[in-house]
Amino acid sequence: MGHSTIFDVISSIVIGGFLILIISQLYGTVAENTFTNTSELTVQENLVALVRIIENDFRKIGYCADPSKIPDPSKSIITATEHSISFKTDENNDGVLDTLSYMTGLPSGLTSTPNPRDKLLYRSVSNQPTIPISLGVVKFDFLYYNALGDSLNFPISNPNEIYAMRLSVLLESPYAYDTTYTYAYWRQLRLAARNLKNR
Amino acid sequence: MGKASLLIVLGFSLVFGIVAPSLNRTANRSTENFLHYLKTTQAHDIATSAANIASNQVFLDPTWRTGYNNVPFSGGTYTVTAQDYGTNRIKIVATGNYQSYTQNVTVILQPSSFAKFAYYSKVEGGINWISGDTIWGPFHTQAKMQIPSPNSPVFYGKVTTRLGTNPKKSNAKFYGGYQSGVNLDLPANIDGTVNAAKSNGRVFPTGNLWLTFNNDMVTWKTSATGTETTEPISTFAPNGVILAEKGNIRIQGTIRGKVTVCATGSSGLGFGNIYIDDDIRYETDPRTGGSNDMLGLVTENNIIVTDNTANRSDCRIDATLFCLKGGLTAENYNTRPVSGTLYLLGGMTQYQRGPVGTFSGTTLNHGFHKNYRYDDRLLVTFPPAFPLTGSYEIISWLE
Repeated sequence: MGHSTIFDVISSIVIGGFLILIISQLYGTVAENTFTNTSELTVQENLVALVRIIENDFRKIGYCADPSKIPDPSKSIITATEHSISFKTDENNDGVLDTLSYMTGLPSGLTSTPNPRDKLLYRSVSNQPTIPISLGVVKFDFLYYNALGDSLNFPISNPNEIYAMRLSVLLESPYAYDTTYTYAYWRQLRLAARNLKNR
Repeated sequence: MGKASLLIVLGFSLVFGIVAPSLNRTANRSTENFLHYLKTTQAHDIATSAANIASNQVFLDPTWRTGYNNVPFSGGTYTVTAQDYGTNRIKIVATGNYQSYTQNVTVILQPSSFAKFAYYSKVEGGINWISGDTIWGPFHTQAKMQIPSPNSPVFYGKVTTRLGTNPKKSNAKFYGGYQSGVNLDLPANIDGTVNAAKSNGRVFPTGNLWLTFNNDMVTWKTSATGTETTEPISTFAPNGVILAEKGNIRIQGTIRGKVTVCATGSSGLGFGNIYIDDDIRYETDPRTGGSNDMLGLVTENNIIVTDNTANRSDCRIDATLFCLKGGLTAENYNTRPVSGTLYLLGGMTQYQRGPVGTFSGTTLNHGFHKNYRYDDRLLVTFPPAFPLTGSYEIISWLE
């Protein structure tokens, strides 16, 4: 075994070691990227699905197929807090007035996911059973504005004042990669229900 | 060594070949998901804009039914149909198209009536709006609103004025919004109501008229000591519009159904006034729900609460009022005894607010305290042939 052979072996071991390190690093990166991307996609899809329901519901605040059932839509919002809202609408466009409510639970109420911040979002229609939505909702915050565009202070004693609202929704993945949760954020700056002040 | 390098390159290529499409797929789906939302929103925005454009066309020309067909707009197109819908209503359906995405907005409009106002005045006179004054429902004045500081009256409905407020920045609470520079004058006449009475209602060409409603019946006479006749409202005035063309009307009772009572004639106390001789109420209180009772009192001059025994302990009026040249007032308001409270359930449109009592500070010396409540139903419906503003308004908007 000459010097050159020993040198070849050592070189091979070094190069091979580097390759193994690179491959293992690559594997980790690929695994992290795959998890993160898939997780981000899921969170984003959940957010879009949730937002479409919310937009559809909120645009119909004060709407009824039979307008005489809700002559003064400015009185449509029954209660409004920072994390909940309850309003009158015709949810399924059948001319019957419904009461639609959104509210969030506490993070401690959702123990089935490792994410310590996510919570259940509840959507209820009149007397139908409340539907808990577990999509990784972390933030579901309202800010309300009066007709002059000024934000209203909480608690809101007179919901008739509400002319427009801002809703911020933040979703996080239920599971983390390492300790990082992926997230998607949506905010509608002025979610104005056209029926609220159409008369 | 060369073979090994080749194997390594092939190995890495294989790994990337497997992983990259997967990552690309995820990235593409993420983008598609975002684009789906974006395009849906874009189609929705186009539909909303088209509905606004079409509604504006109806505001400008109430006969407009042409619609639009595939008009390019904001990278997409819109199509609008406008058609008559029910009695006097117009239905607009606006469709927004963006690429393969379609969204609809449906709007229903109806003629705007003065009945919708909780309070309308052309002249405010020297009347101040002060703390404690509360108005529910739409408010408009052609004059300048006097709101001396530091008073803070409260308005829950939308407030519009032609000339603004004095002072310009007041402490009033405009919870329903405030807009100045809105010119909405009283009509030159009330021919619409008059013509409705002449076409299928009941007209008394001259002289005074006494009306006592008893649910769906009405007892009437044409002089204080004259013979009374009782008949169903539906045969007395089939379309519900009753007119004393050159005289005054005296009214009381309880009403079932929809009726408009109108008095015309030149200015003064002789003609064109309606006197409230006693309570005029709805059979079913609309505040408890399910009431179809609705009364419009339309005068060329004033609506006057009679100074009589019946009205000395409160007077209740369930009606929406319209006074072309006058206002709601109490007869002998500054000499009659303290008469309790004047309750109004409805709204009032008047040339100028009239007095109903006199006060020393907060102490009532003569006449009535006031308790006016708005009838929310007037936002979407109104008594037969009640005077119209001449434009349309949106009563329903579905996205």
